[in-house]
Amino acid sequence: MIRARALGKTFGPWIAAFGGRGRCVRALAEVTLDVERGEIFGLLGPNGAGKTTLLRIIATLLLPSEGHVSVAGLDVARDPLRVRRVVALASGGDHGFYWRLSGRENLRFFAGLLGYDSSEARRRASEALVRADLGAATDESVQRYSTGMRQRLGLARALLGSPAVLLLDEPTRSLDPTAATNWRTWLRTLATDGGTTIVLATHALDEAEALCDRVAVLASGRVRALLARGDGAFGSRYLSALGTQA
Amino acid sequence: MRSGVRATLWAFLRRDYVLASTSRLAFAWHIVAVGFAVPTMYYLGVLLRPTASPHLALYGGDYFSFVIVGVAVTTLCAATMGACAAAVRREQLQGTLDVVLASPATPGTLALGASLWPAAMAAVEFALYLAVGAVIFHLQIHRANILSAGVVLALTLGVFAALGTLTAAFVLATRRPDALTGAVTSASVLLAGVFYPTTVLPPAVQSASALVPLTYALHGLRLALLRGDDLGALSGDAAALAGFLVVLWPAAILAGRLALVHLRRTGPALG
Repeated sequence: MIRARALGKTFGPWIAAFGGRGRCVRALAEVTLDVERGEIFGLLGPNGAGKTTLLRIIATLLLPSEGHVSVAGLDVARDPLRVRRVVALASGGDHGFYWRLSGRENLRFFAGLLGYDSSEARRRASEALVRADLGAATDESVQRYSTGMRQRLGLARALLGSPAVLLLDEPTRSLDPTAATNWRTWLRTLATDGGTTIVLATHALDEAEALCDRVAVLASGRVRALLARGDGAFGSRYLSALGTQA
Repeated sequence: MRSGVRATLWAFLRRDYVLASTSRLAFAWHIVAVGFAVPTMYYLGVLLRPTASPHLALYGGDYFSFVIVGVAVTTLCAATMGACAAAVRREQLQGTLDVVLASPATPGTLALGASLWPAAMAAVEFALYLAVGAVIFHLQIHRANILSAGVVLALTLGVFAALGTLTAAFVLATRRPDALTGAVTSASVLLAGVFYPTTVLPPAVQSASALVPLTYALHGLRLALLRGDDLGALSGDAAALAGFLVVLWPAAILAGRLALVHLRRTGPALG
């Protein structure tokens, strides 16, 4: 479903791109990955490892500097609009909403951006709000939501278009343990029963181990190891991939 | 069911209506501002009436009619130009730009959608200026040629929408507030003859005013609304505006594409 080949991303001042002076930051280097349909694939690594950059490239929000990525056979750099019909990204933060609008109005707007007509947008927004356990706060303005509620609203937004590929950047960061467990169960159902491909960036070793079929350990923009569920000694292998002691 | 572009435009219109309805005071203030501006212009016209300048003869000699059309058109043009850039800046500051750009809607659809509500509000304000002027202060537009006024207005809005797209591309690429709309509007007010006919300007400045789209918009619309000139009589103004359209739209589309590529190369929408 997702193929990345020799993928690299360098951020730097505009002038540096033309060979001028300026400090460049190499966020990704030579990343090669395959994620299968219906798989939950984890990106695990410390801050600055390149997890979010990789998700943003797959979501077409960033262009790769080297290599290429395709989603369902569509090149993310050359065919972004078609890729966006297949992919949805939920960032971990609680921003990205119109705070004076209610949760329902926010989701109706974003469903409209996906091309759903008014009645379908309303139906999908209501379903997603119930799924996110926000049914009681549907008509409250988002500014009254707690951080965890806004994070759940972000997950609900990502599910509006029933995407074939779901990209999640630290999806349970601000959730309480019960809500986090419920979401993990739901994500597993989505992948197993719905065939949704899920790429999950996380710091949390236990979350990756519990939820992901395979995990790429990223550090300094490079894939250090690929771990599969059931391989055993997950934690120590992760630390060893990062070059640290358990 | 997915109905595409129409659904996306409707979503923008609906969102902006709901947002506007949460701050009705701001909307009411627009109405009040028109209510103050029109009498101000009327009494300025009364002051100038005994000494009506020969420069106004082309437009019927009434300063109030001359200036109210100028102010109404300039307000509409400035709003049309600034709408998309203001929307981009709001989305940057709210942190919603990435989410909007990650949608499968084309950039053109997003730009149009984001501009619909402010443009509609500006059109209401434009109509209010003329309606209050006509009903209460006897603005002389009973001879207006609606067809020719409509054509000149459509060309004018096309030109300012192109300028607005250029401005939005600037805001998108630089992640800075819109500095262009204010500068273009201020220069246009000076050069295009909003408050006075361009014939009062020194010859060198008159040459500069020939480079400003608003000059042709004001001239054409005043003749269409105040004298009822037909399209044949306004062909010079219409041709000039069409020329601006032909030059500005390709530049605007190119700037928009470059800004989006720049954004995808350099990272988050607001760095």
